Amino acid sequence: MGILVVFVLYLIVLAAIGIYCARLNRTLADFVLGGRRLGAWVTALSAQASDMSAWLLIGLPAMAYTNGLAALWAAAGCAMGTAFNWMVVAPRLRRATGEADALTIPDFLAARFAGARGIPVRILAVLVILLAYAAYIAAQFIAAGKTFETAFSNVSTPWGTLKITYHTGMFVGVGIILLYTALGGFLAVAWTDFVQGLLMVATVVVLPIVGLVGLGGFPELWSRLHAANPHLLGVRGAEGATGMAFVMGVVVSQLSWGLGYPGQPHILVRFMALKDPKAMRRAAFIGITWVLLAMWGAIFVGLVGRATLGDLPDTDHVMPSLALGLMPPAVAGVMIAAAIAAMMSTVDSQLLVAASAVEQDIYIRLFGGRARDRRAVWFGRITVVALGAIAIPLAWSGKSVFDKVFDAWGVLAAGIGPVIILGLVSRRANTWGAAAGMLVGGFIAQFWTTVKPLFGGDTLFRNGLIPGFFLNLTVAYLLSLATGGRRRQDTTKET
Amino acid sequence: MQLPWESLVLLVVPPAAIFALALVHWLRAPGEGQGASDECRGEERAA
Repeated sequence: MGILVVFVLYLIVLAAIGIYCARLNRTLADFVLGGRRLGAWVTALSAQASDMSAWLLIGLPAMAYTNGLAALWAAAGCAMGTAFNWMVVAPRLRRATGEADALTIPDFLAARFAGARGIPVRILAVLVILLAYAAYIAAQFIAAGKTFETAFSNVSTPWGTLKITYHTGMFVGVGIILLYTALGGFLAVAWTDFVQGLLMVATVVVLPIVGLVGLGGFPELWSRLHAANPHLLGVRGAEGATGMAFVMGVVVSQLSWGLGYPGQPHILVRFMALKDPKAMRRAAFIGITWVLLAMWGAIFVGLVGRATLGDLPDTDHVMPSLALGLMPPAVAGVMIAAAIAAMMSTVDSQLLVAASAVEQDIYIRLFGGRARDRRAVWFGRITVVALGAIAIPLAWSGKSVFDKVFDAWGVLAAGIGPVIILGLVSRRANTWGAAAGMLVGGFIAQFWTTVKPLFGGDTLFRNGLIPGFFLNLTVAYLLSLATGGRRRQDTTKET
Repeated sequence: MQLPWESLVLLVVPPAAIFALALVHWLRAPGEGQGASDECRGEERAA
């Protein structure tokens, strides 16, 4: 019952933020970018909460539970990617999008690579975003359904026993997300993400500390892990991989998560919304500190879970099971709410990015549609709800979550990341290079199953992220040079 | 029970190094509201 009360209160807070922020949306710029008036703390925590998704509280602890300290490779990759984003991409992107008055990532790319009005680059960017987010959003909906189903499988209430099924849980989670995202737009998403970011980091820091104290400290933790499987204390995975299996299958594949960061529009738009560009370094410090605490904490949730809980039938349950085992019911409820928060904070941002791509990039920029002020805000709201409704059938079967996330992350990383970097740091990259690079990178990542024999099958790369990213970068840069670099017309802002 | 040295390195060095880098990056910034930082000097304009 305690868990249910905490959950209901939490959902009411989210809905209230959405309703409050609804009044602040007067123009499309307010709805999709909060009128560029976020402070450093909200920018930092909302960027990180949007980034991490349910993977932080469910997937990463499960990875540490299964593979032990080898999960640190993924944490290191993500932390390096986050630091690169904050220190290199964020300040340049904030300035460039402010100058170009770009509201979306395709808007920025079209303005930066403006040959032929930026149409090829804009279309490709929108395609990559919608394709990847369809899978990404569906994966988060699945996580919502599963978490509700796990948390409320058998809850006693004064009116009888409550049992929430997967599909009911998904509809409850999706309903709340659509409510506050459609009503409150970017400001509601950023502020709810800020709250959710605090909740997430508190959970993954407090839970392993309580678990470690209960165990009696690190020596006992290491002893129990060694007794379960000696490889859990090493850096080579649960089976102690050696040679190429270790280098490519463990080190490179896990570190490669970090390559994906410059290509994630739901993270990048936060950088674009910072009110004072000079506050970016403070926001960077806050965001990077958050990610270090969160990722290393999440790994210790998995390790303490393995030492405390023994064998679990489903490793995805390690965080909720540890919370229910170590904490009073109300606190466990808050921690399980953090898993829902993690999912919500990602999917709300992705829905908004996808809706802004449909409205700003397709309807207004490509088809010359007219949508002003409040009418534009309502168009955006309807688009958010429509995209959410489209993703529900994709999530209906409830099959695996994190494979979809890794694939979608790879498509965005290989399709968009390299041209964002080139657009910000290279003076020579031009329209033709960017369009060809996005086409090659996006294609390889999206159709990896078909093209992987060209790259040695599964021996070298687990998905198309690494080859797609570097081929995009290479093709974009070389073709830009071959076609004369950045010509004068490329610097003209699209109108 | 002790951790193997390579696990201890992977556990401690990346977060310590990245945290130190972020701290230096922040502390070296010109004061907020006191003129443009390095990133704001208009690479786009130079092009």
